[in-house]
Amino acid sequence: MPVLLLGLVALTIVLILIVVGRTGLPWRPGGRAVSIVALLVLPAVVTWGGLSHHLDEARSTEFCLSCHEMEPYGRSLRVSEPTKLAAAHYQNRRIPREEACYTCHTSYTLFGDFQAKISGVRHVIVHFANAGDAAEPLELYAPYENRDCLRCHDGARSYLESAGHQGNLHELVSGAVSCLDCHGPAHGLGDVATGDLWDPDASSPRGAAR
Amino acid sequence: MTAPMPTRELATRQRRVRLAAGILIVGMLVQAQSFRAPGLSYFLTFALGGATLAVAGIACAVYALFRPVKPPAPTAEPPPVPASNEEVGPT
Repeated sequence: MPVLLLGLVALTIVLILIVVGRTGLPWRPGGRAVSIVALLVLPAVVTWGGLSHHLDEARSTEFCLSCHEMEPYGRSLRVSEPTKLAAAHYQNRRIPREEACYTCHTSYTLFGDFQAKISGVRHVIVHFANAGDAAEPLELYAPYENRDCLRCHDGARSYLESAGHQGNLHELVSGAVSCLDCHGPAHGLGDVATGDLWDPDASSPRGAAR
Repeated sequence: MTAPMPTRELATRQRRVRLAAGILIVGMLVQAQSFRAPGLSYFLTFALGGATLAVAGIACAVYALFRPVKPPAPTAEPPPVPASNEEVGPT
């Protein structure tokens, strides 16, 4: 929990109670400044800080998986199938586990973060609009862009010298050939059903996933 | 030295401040509750509860601190009653 924000909340509440407790304080010399800080400045600071905190938290894997529709996708990160992109990236720490979903599903372009947030709002609307309806297979709003793979893999030796990529490098950059044509589907939902999931806590001598 | 504020005006202003303070305190508590963990429900608690109440409370606080209190509307006074018959005039 954000300790600083909670401290500001406590300070704000205390100051507000002081302003309310002393009758006429806002209209006494010096009291106006205290009242403005307590009733205007601090609540605005706390609200802005809270918004920033929640936007930051919205990038976390835990946030994405808080919706029930994402449960199978969260489990697919731990399937014991090395050919599945999501599992291979997550288990081998090729992406930060704390922001696994956001790392791959956000474009690196100038407005990539903003577009991801707008997509998130769309997810929320769909989540509540479809509440109670039979679950439909989830699909991306648009085909997955190769550039979101290449921002990490472009220039890597394993990518450049891979036999399967020889003769296709230009097509991969232009998007004429999708990475997922050979490496997809990224999430092994079929393997989730078998129940063979990797437990990072069981494997680590420290007993806690980092 | 400024003149003391009339009792009625002070009571009105204090009432406005208490309303703003009440809304703000509830908004701050709701926001604090929303910081518990990442998740859609906590985010919506912040956005639809805490932030909304905070904005409403700030608006009420601006109104309470800067909006003057209207003086009471003047009531129609009855015509003055003459103190004695001499003021009415000779008949």
